Amino acid sequence: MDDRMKWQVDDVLVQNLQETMAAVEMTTPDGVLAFLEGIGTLVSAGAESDVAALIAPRRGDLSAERIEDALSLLAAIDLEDTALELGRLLIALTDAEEEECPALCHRAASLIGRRDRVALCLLGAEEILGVAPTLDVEFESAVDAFDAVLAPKSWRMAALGELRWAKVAWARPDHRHRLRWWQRGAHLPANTVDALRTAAECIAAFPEAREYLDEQIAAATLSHRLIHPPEASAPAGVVDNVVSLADWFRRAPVSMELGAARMAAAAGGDERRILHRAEFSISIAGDRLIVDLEVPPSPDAPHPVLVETSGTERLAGVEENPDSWGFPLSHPIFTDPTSRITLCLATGTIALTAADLRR
Amino acid sequence: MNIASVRIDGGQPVELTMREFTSIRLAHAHLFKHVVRICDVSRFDAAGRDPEDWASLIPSPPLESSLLKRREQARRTLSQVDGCALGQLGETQLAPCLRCDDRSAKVNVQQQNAPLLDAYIAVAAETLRWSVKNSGPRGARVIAYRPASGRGVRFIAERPDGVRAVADLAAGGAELKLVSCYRVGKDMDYRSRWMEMCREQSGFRQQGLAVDVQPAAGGAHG
Repeated sequence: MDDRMKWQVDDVLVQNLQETMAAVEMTTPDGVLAFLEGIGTLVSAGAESDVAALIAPRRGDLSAERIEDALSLLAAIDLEDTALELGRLLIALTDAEEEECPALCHRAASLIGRRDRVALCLLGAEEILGVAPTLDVEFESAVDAFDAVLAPKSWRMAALGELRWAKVAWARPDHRHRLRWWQRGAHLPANTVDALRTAAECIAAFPEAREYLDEQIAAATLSHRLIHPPEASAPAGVVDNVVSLADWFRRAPVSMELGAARMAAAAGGDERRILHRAEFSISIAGDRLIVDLEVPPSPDAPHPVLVETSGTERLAGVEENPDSWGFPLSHPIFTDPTSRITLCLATGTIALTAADLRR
Repeated sequence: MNIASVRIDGGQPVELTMREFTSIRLAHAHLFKHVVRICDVSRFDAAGRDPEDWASLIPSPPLESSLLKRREQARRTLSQVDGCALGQLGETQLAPCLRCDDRSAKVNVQQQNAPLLDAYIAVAAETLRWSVKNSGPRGARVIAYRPASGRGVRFIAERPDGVRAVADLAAGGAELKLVSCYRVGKDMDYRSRWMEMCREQSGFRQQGLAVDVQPAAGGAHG
């Protein structure tokens, strides 16, 4: 349940949208808003090629003034009141008993849907006008107020589980940041809050377990930062469904970050740096995969750099230089779709799949 | 209450019915939150106006159109039920339905409100019926998916007047159990809410959890 799963354009969604939009009459602001939302949805759903044909016959009804007038009515859906109800609902959801949860989850999803509509109408307007529409101050402040109420409580939305993921999974991966209230933490399971409570109870019973929990938090934080670096909020392009590390390495672009010293040291001068982070970097030199650690390895790990599969297969890296481990890329373990690179560092453990590496 | 005859994922026709919530406690919590509204507050309350306008949805038994009078009436009757904390609330107090475990109180509240609860559930049933009757070329106007936590199918239906019903169907069963029923903002355009449903169902398709629901030939019970 994360954004690494295979995504493809959903023809049923596109056809439903086209059918709905064909029936929209642009004589009222509601009609204009429905059209904008439809265009925003189609663009996000990866159906840009269908959008131009829908816009062309309606172009006369879609002046900037008309669009901005219609958008100003979106404030009338009263995002601020919705946010307050949502805030109460999310708090109730955290403490709800199991049988109450589905009803509260669907109600919360329905309320947040109003914010989705704003985002998609704005995207639709931008697609039609070619520039972002001009918004009045009241509109922007209503949107900001909604986001300000939701952001600190959005962790409570973990209880929505697959419903939460459904609210963003329809969109092409590189468009999901527009629905960031759904995307953030969307991979967390529905029982996340229960797990937090269990962790709290565990620490109360075993205070000495806090150190382990702190290590886990540090490792998860690091891993999250690697998978979702700050610049990833505006992804660079369509994400392919990469099935194995080997596939990914074959497609990996040549990085311009490769240092001159390392370049000189690389045999044949053909070393490509694939990924560079504060804690490590990954390069390819011929048939070798090279992992350089920038922080010390964990003293407890006999093999600090490994390639593992979800089964029992493991391949330990060979320390070829100080803090530098190598693997033969021709090894079959790299073709396993579940293979991942595991780095056991003094600061925590990092696991990297092909999908993680793409960013 | 009959809903409709449908084919789920291309299987044999199933005559869907619905007559109750998943639990009595959930039924009471919803009735007193959404219809009677002694468990919720909103900016409309001071004027005694029901933001979900249930009086227009439930003609019988007649609902007081003033929320203030509706609450007063509910408090009066609930106060006669031993063990129901909602009946002990003061005139201006609002509180959530207290998740009571008093079986006798639950049974008494159930009996006291049976006609209203039945009418409430009938509105939800009608919403699901509408969504099948008004099927498009790609199936019923519902979101239907298999929740990760269970083996059944969850249905979400919404009709143009804003009533939304969520119901669960156990694997291999035909009787839907109501999970929730409320009215979303009447100010929102139905086309917008339909597009939202299409996106959500698409999200379930992308996860491999979506369920296809088609009306069985001649199966809709108008």
